[in-house]
Amino acid sequence: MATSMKLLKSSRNLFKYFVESHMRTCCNVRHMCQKAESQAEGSEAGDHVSDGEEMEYETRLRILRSSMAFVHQHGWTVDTLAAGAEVEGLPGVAHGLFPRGGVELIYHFYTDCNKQLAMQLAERVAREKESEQTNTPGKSKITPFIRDAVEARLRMIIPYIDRWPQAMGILALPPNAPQALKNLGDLTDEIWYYTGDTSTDFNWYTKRATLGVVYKTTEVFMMQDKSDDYQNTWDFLDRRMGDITRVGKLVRNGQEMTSVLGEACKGFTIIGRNILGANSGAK
Amino acid sequence: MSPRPGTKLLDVAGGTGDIAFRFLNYVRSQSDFNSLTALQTSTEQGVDINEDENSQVSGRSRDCHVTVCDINQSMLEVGMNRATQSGITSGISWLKGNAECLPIEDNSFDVYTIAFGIRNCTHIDKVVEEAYRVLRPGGRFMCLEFSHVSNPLLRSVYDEYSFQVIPVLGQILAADWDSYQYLVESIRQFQNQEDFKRIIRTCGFRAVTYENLTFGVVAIHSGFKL
Repeated sequence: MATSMKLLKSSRNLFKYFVESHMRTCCNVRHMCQKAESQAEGSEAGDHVSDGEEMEYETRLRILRSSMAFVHQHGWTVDTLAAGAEVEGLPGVAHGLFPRGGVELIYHFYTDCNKQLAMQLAERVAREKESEQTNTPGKSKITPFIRDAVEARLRMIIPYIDRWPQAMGILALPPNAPQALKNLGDLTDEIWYYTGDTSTDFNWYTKRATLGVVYKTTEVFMMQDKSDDYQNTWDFLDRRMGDITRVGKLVRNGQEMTSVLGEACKGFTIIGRNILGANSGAK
Repeated sequence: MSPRPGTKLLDVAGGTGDIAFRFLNYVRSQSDFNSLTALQTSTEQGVDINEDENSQVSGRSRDCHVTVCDINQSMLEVGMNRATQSGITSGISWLKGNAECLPIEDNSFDVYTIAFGIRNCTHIDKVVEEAYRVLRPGGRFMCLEFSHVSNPLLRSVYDEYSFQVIPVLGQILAADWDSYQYLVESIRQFQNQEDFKRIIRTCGFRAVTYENLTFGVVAIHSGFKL
């Protein structure tokens, strides 16, 4: 019995260790990449990137940026990329630079919005740090922060909302879904990072998963919202954030209850063994 | 390649021109589909260089033009006859010239294709350099050519078939052993996929990729002038 308890404990610790190290790696890698990216953008010519590759990268970026103006006309398709290429003075066949077609335009837009959101959140955190006396925001400040972040990010879709359902459909296709999921994961990680989240247990995953679900459902709701300035969507978002808070409380209560029940079980077992005489050392 | 309306693809598929005509039908059906939407007007031209035989594609939609170039006048005449027979009369022109030294100005075409012709050229790097010269910035170079099979088992099967069967068939069906012996040998002496990709890159093309067909028996190389 004692050995089996020890085994259980050690396997749980092992699992915890793996989970924590995976999360640390994920977090560190992402934020290191972001830092490196911002540094590379600042420098004139990347030392480790050859001129040819840089030219290719810049040309692609130019075409993607110019293509955004044609999204209303052609959607997220190769036609849009061809039109964007022609605006840049390149022949329409230059859309061949994007072998996966229109979905690359969607990824570009998505990651661009994520970057803009990250900048906005960083500015807001810096502003709040200056204005407040305390270092870390109180727990009650996290929910409005997240809610505002989700609203800001969803508002970035509004200029293209007439074609966004098509984009969502394309992202749901099997070849594109993994990358789309990764983009969503990056977005939620970004938001939680700026709330000052330092969790190193399984909560890291649950927090991001629940925020992902909230974001996705609100996005879908927004597609059919016809209200003024999408007010219904923001009310929907408030209700979802409330749901999470309630569910969070329930889970915490449940956990407390589980530990109490565990103690109670242990107690009954000891009583049982006492009755049976198994505990008495003297014979 | 996913041609846009107004894009010309020149495909010289080893003589019969089936692919060229099929592609033409595709472009025309695309034009019909898109005829209601207003698109930018642009003139695009494709250059096809072929040493064996040529056929042509003419786009029905706005301002398309194809220039077919070959070093061999009789091949050009075969192509012209086939064009007349198919009823294709506009949007195409014929040019006699050497792929290593094209009688064409710089920066004048959008797509350059060469199918099953480049391995017959003496100086492959010169051909690719000429392609770079005549393409517009942003233009695409596409080359369809026999290439190397990497899988050893398949390669041995392919080699046996190439050297034992093909020349025999050539003799039986066309009374011409030597041409088919030459064909098989020319395939072997041509660069493999990676080496040819390197050559294309050296000549200045970017975003160079290749796609293997049938385990590497044939490969499509693609590059952009950026």
